[in-house]
Order: sequence, then structure tokens, then C-alpha cells
Amino acid sequence: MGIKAIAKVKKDIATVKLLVKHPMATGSIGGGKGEPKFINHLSVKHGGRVVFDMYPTSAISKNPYVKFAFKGAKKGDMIVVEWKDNTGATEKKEIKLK
Amino acid sequence: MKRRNFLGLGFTTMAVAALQSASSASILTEHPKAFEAKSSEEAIKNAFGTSDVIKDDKATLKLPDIAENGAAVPVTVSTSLENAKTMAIVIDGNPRPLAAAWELSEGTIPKFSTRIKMRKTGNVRLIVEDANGKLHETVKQVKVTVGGCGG
Repeated sequence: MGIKAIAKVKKDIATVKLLVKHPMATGSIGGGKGEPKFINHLSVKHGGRVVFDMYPTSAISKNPYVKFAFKGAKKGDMIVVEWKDNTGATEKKEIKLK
Repeated sequence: MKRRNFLGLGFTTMAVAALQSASSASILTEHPKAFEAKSSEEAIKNAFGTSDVIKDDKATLKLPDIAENGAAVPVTVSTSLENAKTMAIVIDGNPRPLAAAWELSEGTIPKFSTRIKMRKTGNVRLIVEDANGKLHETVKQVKVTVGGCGG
């Protein structure tokens, strides 16, 4: 597990690219074996405000990649990336906007 | 923070949602059945309370015409609708068609890129719920050379 991020600000718009290490296993639903294990909530907060709120399923590729942008940011601000999966596992990481 | 409230967000729902998740009510806590639906129509109906969609150009779906690897198909979704509430990707050919949903809030630019799994050739739908709760749909067919759902 692990969260990698590139977050850059231009004018007041922050563009964020995230790569999360996660199996995103479909289990038997997708014709595979084993139990499903996938992220079902991925969110990003900026100063306590939710700027990205995604509900993935096991139909999102392994090691999910997402790209998004939000307004009202400046260089040096922190964002908090957080995910939760269907088995209850979680991870949280703070990232500085460049 | 703007949140969906179109489906009688009563006190009970709020209480249940609060118990299930530390965050506020969401498509996942309020409409979990949408994620278990086995057809696209059922998924849309479970998520939004209706499967009536307006087919227009307000929702934009960027996908390759041919995906060589169904395990990772790049997709970009966006909308020109102001104050849209929710966006969802629905894949007709998958065992569980609802692939992902986003809830939008003020300051969020409604344009997201990610990678999806597709089991076979078929239609991919983008559903955008506007500020009045009306659904807008765009459909695009993707040919899948090697399916990508196992595993």
C-alpha cells in the first residue's frame, strides 16, 4: 500500500494526480478467485473542505490512478488524501501543493 | 459542502449513514444496492431513483475506440453543467455495471481521469445528475481485445 501524488498549483487551480497502491481485486464477481478487495471511497480534503469525493468499485484498475483539479488553492497548502476499502483497511497521507 | 438530498434524506437515513461511516451521507451509504446491481438500468435506478435520462452533450466521455487491454482502459469524464451533483460511470458489459461515482462540491472542477476494467466490448455510459436532480447521459462503445475483469 502507498499513495503517490503530484500536486501543482497554477493561478488558483490545483491539479492533482494520484496513484494508490492497491490490488482492486474483483474476487469471484469478475470471474477470478479469492475475496474481493477494493477501495470504495477515495477523498481529498483541502483546509477541511472536500475537494474530491470518489466512490470506486473493483471495476477501477489495479493500483488506481486518478487525476482531478480544484479551485481556491495556493502553493504550500496541504491536502489530505484518504481511502477506505471494502475490508475496512484505510490509509491517509498529507501532500504539499507545489 | 453540497450533498445529495433528492431522495427523502430523512432522519433515519442520516442516522444509519452516520453509523456506517464517519463522513456524511453519500451514494455508497445511501444507495449501496446501486453497486450490486447486475444491469446498467438497475444500477442507474438504484443510484438515482430513476433511470430516465436526457441524452445530450452536457456529459462528455473520453475513451479509446479500441482497448487492447480491458484491465486498464483510460477514461476522462467531464460535464459543462453548472453545480452538477453526481457523476457515475456505468459499464454495460461488466458483471456489476456501476464502476465509479463522484460527488461534486463547490470548488471541484467536474473533470476526472482514471482507468477502468472492461470485461468485454460494449457501451460505457456517463451519467451526470444536474442541480435539479435530472440525469444526463452520454454513451460510447469501446471494443475490448482482451477482457480485464478476472483477478
